[in-house]
Amino acid sequence: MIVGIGETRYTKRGLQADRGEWALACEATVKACRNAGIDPRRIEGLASFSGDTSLPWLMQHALGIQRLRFASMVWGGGGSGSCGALAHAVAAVESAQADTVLVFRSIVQRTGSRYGSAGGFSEVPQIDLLAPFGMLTPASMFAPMAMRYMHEHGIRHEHFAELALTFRDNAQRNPRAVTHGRPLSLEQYMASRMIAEPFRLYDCCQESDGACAIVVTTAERARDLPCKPVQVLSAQQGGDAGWGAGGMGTHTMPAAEYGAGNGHQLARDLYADAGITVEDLDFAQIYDHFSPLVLMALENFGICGSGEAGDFVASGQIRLGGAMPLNTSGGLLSEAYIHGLNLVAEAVRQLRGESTSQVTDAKVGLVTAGIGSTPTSAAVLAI
Amino acid sequence: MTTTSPLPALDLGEPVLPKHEEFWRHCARRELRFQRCGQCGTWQHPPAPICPSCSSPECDWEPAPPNGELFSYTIVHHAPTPLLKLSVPYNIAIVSFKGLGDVRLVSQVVGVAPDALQIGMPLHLVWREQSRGRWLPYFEPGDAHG
Repeated sequence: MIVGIGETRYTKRGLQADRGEWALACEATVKACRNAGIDPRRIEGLASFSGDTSLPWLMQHALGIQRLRFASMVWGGGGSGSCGALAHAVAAVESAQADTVLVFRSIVQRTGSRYGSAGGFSEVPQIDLLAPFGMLTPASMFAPMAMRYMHEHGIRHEHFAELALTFRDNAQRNPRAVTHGRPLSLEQYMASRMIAEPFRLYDCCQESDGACAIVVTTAERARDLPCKPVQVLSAQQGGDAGWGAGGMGTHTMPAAEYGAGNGHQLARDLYADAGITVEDLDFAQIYDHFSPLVLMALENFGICGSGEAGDFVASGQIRLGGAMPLNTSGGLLSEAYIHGLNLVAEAVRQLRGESTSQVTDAKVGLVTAGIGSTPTSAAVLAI
Repeated sequence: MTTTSPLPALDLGEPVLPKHEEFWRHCARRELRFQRCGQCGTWQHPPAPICPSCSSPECDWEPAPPNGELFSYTIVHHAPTPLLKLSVPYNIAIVSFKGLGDVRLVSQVVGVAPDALQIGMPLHLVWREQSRGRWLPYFEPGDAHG
């Protein structure tokens, strides 16, 4: 059960550098605990991903944790592990390794470590096979996947634009969003500069400072808390065969999945474990580091058939009131880039009926993590 | 339109994975070779300590065919480092080879304008000295023999 969510202010990168990641992690944690009605000292486990710098001993020290019984770090840069960290927290709680586990991610981007530049991205072990040819950033690593996807399915820039515009529109209702108050038009989108074809500026997620925290506990404990608990029907990690050297490696994943992303097996396992079908989903929060990869995820997770995601988004189905509202907080493109943990927080708000872009009668929602590397992860939450 | 030429060498340190050093040693002799399992014949790239099909550690380094195909690509417009500011826009090519399955090489197509690139176009291997003694495998449009 998820019983609490907490977030710091989300800002453009670098604006909270004076506070640092640890302070932001603590602020989000205290807010999440207050939201749940739990004393931070009662947290028994810590789960994070992407090499978060707020190490377990720092967190125990600051939060005054009395009984630290579980600590987990999900491998991988970026946000492939957002729901993986949630999965570890749930596993710890269900196996009685810890009563209450905190999932958190805190990001402050310092000068010289931007995601869009070389040097801020040295964690790819196969980088020596990529860098001499100028493949140095996530944008240029994932762009060839999107080019192949466009080639295979006749996808156009207008389809990508619909994602960027929808999420920006959702962000206009969300005061937490970094782009709140800055609407985006199709003309602006189309006129924006190319980063790495086919990604334009507005297809690439923001770089943000901020922290997000989620409190997971047992159903028994949740019953005694004043909050509205949200069920984790399933949270899993998964990676298709052959993705060990995928988008963030030498691009040697299976040809059939090259322009489709890494999530087919995960989606099947996830829905089976959650005991749902895709028809049960009322909304989805899809990891949107680059808008074309959202289309791939829609197909991976069965919301659209293969090659159909372009037409699906063009028909308005992902907007509020459509068949599958997406990224209702604005997502990573328009709310903030907290490596996707903010997508989990938004799913919780939707199920509690607290979203600024509330889906009527939302009962079941999907959250996904980055699908460009392996393993990725996803979760199904329900009320 | 500018055409892509080899990028200036960036100091990114030495390969961290030992098997990669073997790949680059062949390149230094202007030989593009991929690992092929000595037990079951499976080709693989990037290099790895064992075969993903049969777990055998025995592998040979066999020459890649001289002709390939443009499997996918991107044109980079935003320089990822100030050292590449004068090089943008440049292409990055994902090159596949007939008979080698999902073995692909990240490289560049040199001497072409960005709008001349098309997925599926035939390419052939050429070598360029990126910096002194460092030969890299690049590609040009068309087959090697005619």
